[in-house]
Amino acid sequence: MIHATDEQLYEAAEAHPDDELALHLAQCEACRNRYEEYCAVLQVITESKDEEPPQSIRWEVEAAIAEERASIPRQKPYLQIAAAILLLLTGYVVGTYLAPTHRKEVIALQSQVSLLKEMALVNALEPQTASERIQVVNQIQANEPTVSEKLISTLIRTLNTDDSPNVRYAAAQALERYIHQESVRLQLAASLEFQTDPLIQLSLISMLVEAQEKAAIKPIKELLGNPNAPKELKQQAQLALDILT
Amino acid sequence: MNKVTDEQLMEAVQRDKLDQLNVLFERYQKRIYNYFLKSTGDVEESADLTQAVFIRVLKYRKSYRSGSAFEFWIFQIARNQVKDHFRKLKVYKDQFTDLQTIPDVEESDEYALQSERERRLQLAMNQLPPDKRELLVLAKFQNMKYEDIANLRSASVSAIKVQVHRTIQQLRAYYFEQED
Ligand SMILES: [Zn+2]
Repeated sequence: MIHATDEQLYEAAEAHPDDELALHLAQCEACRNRYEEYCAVLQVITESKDEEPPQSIRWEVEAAIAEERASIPRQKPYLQIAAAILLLLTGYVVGTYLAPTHRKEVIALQSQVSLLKEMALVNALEPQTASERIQVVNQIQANEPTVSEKLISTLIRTLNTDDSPNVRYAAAQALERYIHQESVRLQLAASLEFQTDPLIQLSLISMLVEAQEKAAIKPIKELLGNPNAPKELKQQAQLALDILT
Repeated sequence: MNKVTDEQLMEAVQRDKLDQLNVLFERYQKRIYNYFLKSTGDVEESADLTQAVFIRVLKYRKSYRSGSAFEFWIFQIARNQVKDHFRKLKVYKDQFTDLQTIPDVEESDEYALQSERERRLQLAMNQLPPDKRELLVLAKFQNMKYEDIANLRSASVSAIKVQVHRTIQQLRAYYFEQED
């Protein structure tokens, strides 16, 4: 009689013995015993359950994460997202956004991520590492005319339509970078006509005055004629008008 | 549904979104811990090794290659930990051999297994060489695909298959030896 090999017995235990082997097992006690041993071992393996890891692991890992987080500069996640976008949009020094005075805009801009996602721009933000993102920023700066057109129209749209004054304000600030482009100045001037938040009105006025943009004269005059405009704003507007004319 | 993949989470961790590591921790800690437990048979050591794995994932996050399988990466880290563990153990044993007092480190910390049969299984496994034991853990307890194990061990699938078979044969022998 030819006995079965361990290989055959083990494989049979994993699946099922074929007819030939089954016949042999029925007749041969030695092989049957070994076969049953394989079945038993495999069964214990299958039945053995995973142990629950002790809680201490979680605490240690959480502590390590917290420590690591503290060691990363500008770690606050929302700041990071916003700073990455702003860096891209404006080329502002990231550090600027850590100043407490800018924090609000940055938080507000975070809500703009969804808007920005509509733009191809987001593809540029996709690269995983910081160095890759910096490369993207450099590229954008190198190819400024083509890329920033898309960015500018997004920012203009944000400036004109966003529900949040903080976001509109941040968009205005971001647009300052492109003030040397006439089309930007004209759109800022047009925007000034229907902005109602004094802070945004002020920032637009100051940008346009600094850029010596005569197109700002008309909206500034309208603002001066608006009985509801705050006195302080009107003072600034008058000053701007004096400079421009 | 739209479950975030391990790889997406790890890529976020890589971008310093460290909170995402908690999600990966939830997904993997039990597997990694039990991988160590079965490989070393040592509860305390397994806890230490598990936390060390996740801390390495954290510290070396920049070296994760985006797009590559996270499971593969974390098990690579875990495997290295096991190797280190046995290297340490060997040095330890070598040091004590001269003194004729070899503490049985592997079995000194027996954990409460659900059943007598499982305890016997672990004892049998402890008799396997560490390398074979680890193979068995990956193939039979972690139910990792032969392809993945082959990848992890830089071996061919057929070689892994043969090794798993032989290891089970050995395991069977050790398991039933204990009865005598
Ligand atoms: Zn036989």
